[in-house]
Amino acid sequence: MDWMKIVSALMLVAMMFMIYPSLKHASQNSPKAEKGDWMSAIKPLVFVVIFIIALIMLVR
Amino acid sequence: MQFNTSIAHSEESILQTNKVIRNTYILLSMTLLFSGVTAFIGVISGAGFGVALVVDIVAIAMLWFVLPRTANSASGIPVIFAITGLLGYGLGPLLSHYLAVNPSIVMTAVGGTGAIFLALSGYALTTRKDFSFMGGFLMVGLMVVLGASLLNIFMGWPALFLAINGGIILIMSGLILFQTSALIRGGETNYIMATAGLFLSILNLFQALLHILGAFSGDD
Repeated sequence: MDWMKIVSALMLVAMMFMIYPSLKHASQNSPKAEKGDWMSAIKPLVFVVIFIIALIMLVR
Repeated sequence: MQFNTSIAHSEESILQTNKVIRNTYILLSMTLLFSGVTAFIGVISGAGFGVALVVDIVAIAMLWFVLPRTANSASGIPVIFAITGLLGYGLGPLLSHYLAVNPSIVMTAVGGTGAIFLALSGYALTTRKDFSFMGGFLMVGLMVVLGASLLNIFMGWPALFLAINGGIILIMSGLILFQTSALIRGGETNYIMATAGLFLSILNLFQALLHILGAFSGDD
């Protein structure tokens, strides 16, 4: 196994370690979604998915 | 009298928020331009993937340990430029690879990333919706993507690689909505930290889009 794979793996573990407190804080303190909140977030994300599919068709 | 004071406070808060938004977008455009220049240097200098990995580690270490300590002072500006410059340079080998196989993929990824960022930021800025409820969901998604990336370093499954990059695109898109909404609603008051967050979302979005376009174009 080359050194780059080992260093990359260590870096990912370090990232998970650094992100964990933010994850814990966000899960405990994020406000609950109200009715219609998720729909307002899903709409632009669906646009992103459709746009990516269009870009894939463009480069194929 | 009390009513007038609360109006004055509200106006002050709106002015402060608008100042943070303006400074964030000015700094973001300057850092993106600067990282574009360093990425070009990375391409023409023929930097290898090993050098890019080391440069990225230095940039991430600065992001974790130096930026939070300097973000509230003027010294935060050179630090954010150093981080974004290093991350741009770290893109060099990846860009060289795709420019060698099919340059149009790189141009499409640049244009696609720009269009997605402008559309999502525009959506969050014009609707002024609060996306703070997505925080926990995005953090869990980020953790899952990091775990899957760790697994795929050793497994090297092409399908998992595509799924990870698809997941990164959706998470970074969600983070752009989340961060922009935090800027508008006063959740983020430091424009240097806001710039760092948006820059990383754009960079990750660009890299994931480049990988996906490269894989589907059949040139990768």
